[in-house]
Amino acid sequence: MFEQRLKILLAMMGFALAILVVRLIDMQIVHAHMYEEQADRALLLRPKTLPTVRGSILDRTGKLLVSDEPCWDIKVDYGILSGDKDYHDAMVKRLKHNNAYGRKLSIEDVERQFNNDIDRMWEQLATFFDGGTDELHARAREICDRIEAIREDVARRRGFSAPVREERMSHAIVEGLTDQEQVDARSVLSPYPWVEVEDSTKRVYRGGAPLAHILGQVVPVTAEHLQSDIFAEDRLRSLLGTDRIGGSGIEYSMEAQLRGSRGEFHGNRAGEVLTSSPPVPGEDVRLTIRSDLQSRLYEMFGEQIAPLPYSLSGSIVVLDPRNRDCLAMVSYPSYDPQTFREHYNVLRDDTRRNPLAFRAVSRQYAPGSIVKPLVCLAGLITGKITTATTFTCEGALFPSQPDRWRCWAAAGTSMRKQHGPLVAWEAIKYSCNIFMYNTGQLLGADTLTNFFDMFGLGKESGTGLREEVPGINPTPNFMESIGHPLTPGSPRQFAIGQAEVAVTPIQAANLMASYATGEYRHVSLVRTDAESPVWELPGSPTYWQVIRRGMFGVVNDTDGTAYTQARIPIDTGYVLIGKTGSAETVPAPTAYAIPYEDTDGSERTAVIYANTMSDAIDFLLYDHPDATFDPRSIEVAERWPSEAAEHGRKHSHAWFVAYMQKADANGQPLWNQVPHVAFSVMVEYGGSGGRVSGAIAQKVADVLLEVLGPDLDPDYVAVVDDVDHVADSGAGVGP
Amino acid sequence: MRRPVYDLTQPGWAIAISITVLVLIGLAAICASNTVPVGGRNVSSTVMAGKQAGVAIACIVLSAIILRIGYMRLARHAYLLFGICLVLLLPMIIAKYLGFSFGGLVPESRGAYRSIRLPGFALQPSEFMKVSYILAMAWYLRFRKNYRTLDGLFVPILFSVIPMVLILFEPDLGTVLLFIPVLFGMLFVAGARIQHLGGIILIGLVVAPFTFMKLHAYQKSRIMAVALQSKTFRDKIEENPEKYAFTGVGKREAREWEVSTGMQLVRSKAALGSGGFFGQGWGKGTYVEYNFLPDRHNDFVFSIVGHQWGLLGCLVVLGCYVVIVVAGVEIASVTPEPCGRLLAMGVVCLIAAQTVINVGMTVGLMPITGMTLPFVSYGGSSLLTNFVAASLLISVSQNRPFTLARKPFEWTDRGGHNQS
Repeated sequence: MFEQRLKILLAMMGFALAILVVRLIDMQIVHAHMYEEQADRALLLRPKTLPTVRGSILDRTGKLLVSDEPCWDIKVDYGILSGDKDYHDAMVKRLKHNNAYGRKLSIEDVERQFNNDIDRMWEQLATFFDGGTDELHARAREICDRIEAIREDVARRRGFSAPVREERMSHAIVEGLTDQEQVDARSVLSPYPWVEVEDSTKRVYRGGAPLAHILGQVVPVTAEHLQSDIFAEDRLRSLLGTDRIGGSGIEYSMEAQLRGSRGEFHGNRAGEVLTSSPPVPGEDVRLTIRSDLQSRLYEMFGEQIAPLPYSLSGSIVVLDPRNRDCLAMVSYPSYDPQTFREHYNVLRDDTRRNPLAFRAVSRQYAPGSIVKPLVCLAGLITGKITTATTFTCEGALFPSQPDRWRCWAAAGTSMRKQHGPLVAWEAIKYSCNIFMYNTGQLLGADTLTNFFDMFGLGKESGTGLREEVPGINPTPNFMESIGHPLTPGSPRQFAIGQAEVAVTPIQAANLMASYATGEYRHVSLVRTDAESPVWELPGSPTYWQVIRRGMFGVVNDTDGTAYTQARIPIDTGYVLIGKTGSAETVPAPTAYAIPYEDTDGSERTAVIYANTMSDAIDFLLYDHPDATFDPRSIEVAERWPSEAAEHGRKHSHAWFVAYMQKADANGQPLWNQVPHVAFSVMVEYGGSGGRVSGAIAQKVADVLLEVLGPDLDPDYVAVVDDVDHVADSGAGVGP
Repeated sequence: MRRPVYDLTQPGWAIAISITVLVLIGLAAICASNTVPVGGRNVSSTVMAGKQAGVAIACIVLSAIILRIGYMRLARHAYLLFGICLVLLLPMIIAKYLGFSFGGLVPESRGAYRSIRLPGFALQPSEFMKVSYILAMAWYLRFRKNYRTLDGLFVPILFSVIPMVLILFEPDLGTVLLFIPVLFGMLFVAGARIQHLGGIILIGLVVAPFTFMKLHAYQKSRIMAVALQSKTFRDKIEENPEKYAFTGVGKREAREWEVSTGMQLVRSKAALGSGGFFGQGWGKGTYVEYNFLPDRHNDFVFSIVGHQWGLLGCLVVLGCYVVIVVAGVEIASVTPEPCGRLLAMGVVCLIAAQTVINVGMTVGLMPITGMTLPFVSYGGSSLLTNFVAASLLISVSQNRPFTLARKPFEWTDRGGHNQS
């Protein structure tokens, strides 16, 4: 039986062997090919992404304004920045395993050494950074908050919380090191395996303060950016948490063009390259801005407003009326874009000057008299008035009520307190309110706002800047929606550019360009090959000539409102055709006093610099998250301008809008030539449009002549041919 | 009548030559790659191979000593040896459950306490337990017949259960499971009744699902690995994780099996399969040049053999075991001495079971259980154990006393003695 059992056992073993051999044949002969492929796949390296470069921003002439420049960043593991417990423990274990601090140390000793090292690292990092360790810690916190928000956001979408890839990455804490600093940093930071010094790029802004608003800034990516990423589907172009994205200005509006596409490298361990796609740098953006013109205008504006009592700020926008290319867009004051991050708090709290505000597009002001030519044009086109219609100015619309519906002449320093009988072009020249009241009355709010709309009021001008606001065109629907239904007086108010109507400086410049060409276009800030759409504006050439003649008179007739300040010499070969405007306004709050109760129960009052109450509350809560306060007790602590204007008058913003018309040797405009520049000047709290902004306009013309020179000369085929001269149509041209 | 040590019998020579071939293949597999990862560090393969060769030479010397002593003299002290091995297992249990590591003498490795660290090498008492267990079993069973009754099976099973339980606590499931085929093999050839053995196996099968439930998650997933190789099975788990909750495999593990818990097996199979018929050649191939396959020099050395030398190499290795097993069975068959017979079969079962489990594991037919491939895998304790076992086998072959008596254990189930 033993032998038999041995045989049975042997047979069982033989059976097991047979199964194994069959399996081996199946794997090594039958399916060998499949396993070979698996083995080849095992050789593949994880695809490596190659960083890309953001596109540059150039000015109109091709001058480099913004570019990515090579530099070095000091990066620190996320686990160190966040103080993550798991990372900490794992690192201590690793250090102990590697005997990083010597052999035979207990885990507690290693941990103590590790903590010391982290503290020392922060001190050494601070030597490569201007702000000190506190600022560095604040940066680390900022990074962690951002990544935490991304994690929460991803968790919300996935339905469960899991680490995001940014948590396994290291993050740049000190950026923009030079080659020499990099060498120092490497040697000093080498004892810390969680710190890396990596080559990177930094965004360099060359235009300085004059271009700061237009160019904008890049900012670190946040959860919101990831959510709204336009290239989320593109693996190589989508955002990473360590990226930077355009946050303002052109950097924001041209993000799609500027952002590059990362490269990718597929290789295997045997050193073979399987597929490789190089990084595609972002496309360059060519602005319509002339940076030389921009800088000159910025400096000039600063010099010009320096002696003014209340004016700290304002803007100049220069357009080419033919295609509405924006040649210059000055927002004064501005800031140095290269040190923006460091000085942010100072800039933010400077509520009087508001250097962060992009005034040219983001501030809206009552247009005042600059809409008057438009009102006359609307009257003529609709037939409510003719070129010969006369309204008599007696200083007030109703002589029985001299304090209401007054003309500025009645209140002004003018010798005659009234304009007397005026036709349309004269009314424009004198900027007579009475004529406009009557015309506005005849037109009605509906028709008037219709015309406003045609000229782009209440609509964004098309620059694509996120900072841009549309201004206000007080259509009946709009007035209804804000709860101020139109009154019979509304069209009169609108006709002199007061009450609800509001425009931005860029809209004002575009309005002037439309006056010059008889067509409406969008303003472009970036040069493209695409032809921008054109809206032909109605009205016979005669009517257009009325307003142009009127505006010619504003500057060039001896009794025009800007004759003394804005007129440019005849020998330049050009005349300024323009319109003054003074928009009444009230001093703006610059600080709020908020009485609040602190966590310790003490009553305090915080004086917070902010332009709006909600900003002030935000800032208070940022500094004292637990403060309690009564919103009704908040008071304006400070305003600017802090004192009343001279002669007890109201403060007003000073407008001047103009275009430069080619003229003959006698200073007579060559009407059939299409002007090449139109511009707007806005001086906040400047007072009289003619006196303040008109004077600046003259300097603008000087700069334009000097910088643009021959470019101004209309070698361009005129759009408006053979216009009937106003004189021929009976309106008459003054001497 | 003892022969000189060098004078081996015919089967003795066959076994010795097979072992030599296997050891050389093992050394070649170590030398194939430049470095060998040991405990997170890379050690030069020549150092490792030198160490292994040194152990092998020491093993040969030890084998010569054992042949000189003869298995009978050792078997006489079988219970003592068994007792010593049991005592040696205790420090592991103490270290694990009382946290006393004898001053670092009993180190922890991947959550288990399996070895005693001595200067220069680590001792795995559970390895020596296997041999002393076989010796003790053979000594116990040699003149008895009471194991042909159900009650009589109690003592042999108790013999097995005590070391099994101790080793299970280390824990070392692979070694524990190895006792079962050895026990059953020895009882089977010794003539225990089929219905008894079958009954016990049946009870084992009934209890198995409950035992499975008690296992650690990683142990479950290792056992489930056999089924998880099927993509359809993984998809089913992923679709309906509740229904398959008993497998201990979650939705996520099923989805990521190939790159997480199943990685080792997937790579082992890829290494074997990509070897093809002739193999990639010595020192060549993805899994030799790069450190993709953990444990490629110990538990998964067979995959590396198959990767480099293909089916041919695998068949040579398996052929060596066939020679050892057949020679062992021949020795058992010829030897009239009862203890030697059982001893021989115990050793044959031990080597065969290890081989089948290890190879079955690398090709995905068996759970991954940390079982070494005898004589080939890197590791001193394992090599030593198998050499001792094999030298006991050869020792049995050297003692073939001429006898006219009936061969022992030639029972017939009808009662009485059978002359066949």
